[in-house]
Amino acid sequence: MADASVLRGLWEDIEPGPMLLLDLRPPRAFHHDHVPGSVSTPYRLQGFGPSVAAFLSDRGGPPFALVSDNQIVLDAARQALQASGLTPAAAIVMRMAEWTEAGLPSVRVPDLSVDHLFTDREQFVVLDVREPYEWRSGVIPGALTLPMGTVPDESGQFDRGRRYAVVCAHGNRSQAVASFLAEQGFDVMNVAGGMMAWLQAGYPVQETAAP
Amino acid sequence: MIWASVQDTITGCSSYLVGDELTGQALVVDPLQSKTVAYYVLMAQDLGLSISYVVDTHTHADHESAARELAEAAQATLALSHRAPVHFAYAPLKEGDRFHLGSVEVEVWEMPGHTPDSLCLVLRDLDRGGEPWLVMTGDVLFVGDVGRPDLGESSEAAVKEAARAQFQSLDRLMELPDYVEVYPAHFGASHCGGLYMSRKYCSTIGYERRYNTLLQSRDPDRFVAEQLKFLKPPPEHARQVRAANLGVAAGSR
Repeated sequence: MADASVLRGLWEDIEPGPMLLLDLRPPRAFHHDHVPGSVSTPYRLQGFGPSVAAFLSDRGGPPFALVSDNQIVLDAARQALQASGLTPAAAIVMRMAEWTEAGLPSVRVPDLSVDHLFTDREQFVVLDVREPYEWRSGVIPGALTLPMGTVPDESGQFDRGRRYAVVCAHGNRSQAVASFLAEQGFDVMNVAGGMMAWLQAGYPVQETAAP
Repeated sequence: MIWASVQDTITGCSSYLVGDELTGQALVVDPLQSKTVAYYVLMAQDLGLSISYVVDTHTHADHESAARELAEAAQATLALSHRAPVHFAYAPLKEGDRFHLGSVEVEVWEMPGHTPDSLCLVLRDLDRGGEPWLVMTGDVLFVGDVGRPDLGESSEAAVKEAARAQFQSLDRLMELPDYVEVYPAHFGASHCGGLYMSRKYCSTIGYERRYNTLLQSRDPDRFVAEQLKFLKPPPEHARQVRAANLGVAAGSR
């Protein structure tokens, strides 16, 4: 598998920039644990090449490296990018455990079960990132409601001394927000299963009208 | 629960991918070499899943299994019946074992008959309820038919004994509620069933209970006699295919 010196070499290339690291793993795996500053570009069977090409060209066409935990996925992605006229500066198969073992930093978002959140609710600031129309199904009592798109502007006001539990409908959007906040250095967990799990478990919600 | 079925319509083989939204974990059952290992890896990736388990319901004699290679490529656990006579390492599954992909629970039933190492996998979605939702029946129960008893040992006594075991296994499947969905390893064109096999690849316990010809008699002797009536030559290259799936050279077994 991946050699520690190769991984350290990769980090030396991407940490100062401008080289971008594109992570091909499924979003769930990425948001759970990823290289700081890397971008989630999960490989998909349809439209992968053109979407990465558009993303890179928006950023002025920087050099980029690819990483995946699977050789087959890496090869398929490389082929799709080639068809879109893109060639990576490096392409590496590695698991995040190998990255960490090489002494390199990572951004992690641990999962938080609704049971754990309910029991220890005093310890968390609950951040609900759903859209206003979704509040009709109820909001966790005391939660901060900030739709996903507003979080980057508002996160400057967040309390670095507190621990945040991010929640959405199913736990996917909240995972992306949580990993964004983790990257900013906040102490943050993702509520696994989101409001679906919270409501299914029968935990209380407060009625909240959409504005 | 995330669900995808993968069919080879030429050989009449089915394989299945089951995933869990929350954990992003997936299980692949009876992967087919004819579809290629890359096909399953990329399908899982496209669904946002990582394959953590690969299971074969039994040692196949009609087609090459991709299970071992897929488990390697995905760094997943290869799990087979503890009775699987294979020559490579795997995690052994026993009667009553349960493993989880998030809220998806997989329960292992040992169901000898078609082969001594045949398994059925009973699946529950614990997010939705504690009752079984579906069963992967391997080569025990097909749509309209049941697995043939003569692809292991071919002596008359062995075939009869296998048919008798198959009767018991089917009897046990019939304990499941009517609404439980049935997903066999084969359909239509496959060599592994008899005369009545449907080209439809899935069914329910209730429908098979009512309309599967081989489930109409509750008498084991009649069942065995009925199965023997429909014996046919083994699939072409059965010995080589089985040897490849066992991880030994053809002819040595």
